[in-house]
Amino acid sequence: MSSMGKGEVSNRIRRLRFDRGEMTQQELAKKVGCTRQTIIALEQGKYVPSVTLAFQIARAFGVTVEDVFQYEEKQ
Amino acid sequence: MTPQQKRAWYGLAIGITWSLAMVAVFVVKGATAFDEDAGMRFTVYGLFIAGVLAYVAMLYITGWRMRRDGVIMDERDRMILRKVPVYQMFAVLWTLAGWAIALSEVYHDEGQIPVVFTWLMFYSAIIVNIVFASAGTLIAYWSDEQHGQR
Repeated sequence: MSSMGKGEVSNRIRRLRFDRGEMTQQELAKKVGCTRQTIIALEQGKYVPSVTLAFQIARAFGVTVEDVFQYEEKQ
Repeated sequence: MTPQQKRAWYGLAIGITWSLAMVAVFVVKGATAFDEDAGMRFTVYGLFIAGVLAYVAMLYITGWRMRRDGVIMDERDRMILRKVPVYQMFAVLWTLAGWAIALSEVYHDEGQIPVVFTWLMFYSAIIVNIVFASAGTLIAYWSDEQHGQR
């Protein structure tokens, strides 16, 4: 069995929003069916979304989940 | 502020007003008058029922508005709201502990407590439970905003 250290999930949501014509947090929230506060928490790195929401966000930007979210393992 | 936080603020306002009204009655009339004064008993029963009804009405009206406006409760809201019963439980436990300590200290020599205090303990446990449904929601959101997921 492999042992995994504690990791950290970061994301590029803010970057992707601006790359797509400065999409607002509210517009993204509406597209993926969550609240604007959740988008804020995601961008601030205070919230890690469920797999479902992660896929929804990636689809809203037309990219893969790994283009939006990165997992970095800490040893 | 999320719609759930707004709802919690309304609930907290009702809860605090309700608590103060109940406390005011007992302060003005005296706790032991509850047994002898029928008017006071009906005032307390009335206030208790009015408080519960006001809280339920607030939940119904805000819920109806949220549905009408298509307000979303998303996965983060649900995650945060799952913490609220823990705050409620601790608030009720601390309230009961407060009563137990205070009554034991005051009535220790008599070896018994006036019956009214069993009712007061019951009322306060219900009120604290309801108040902390709102206060706990606000604390849970505040904690999440400060610390994120821990």
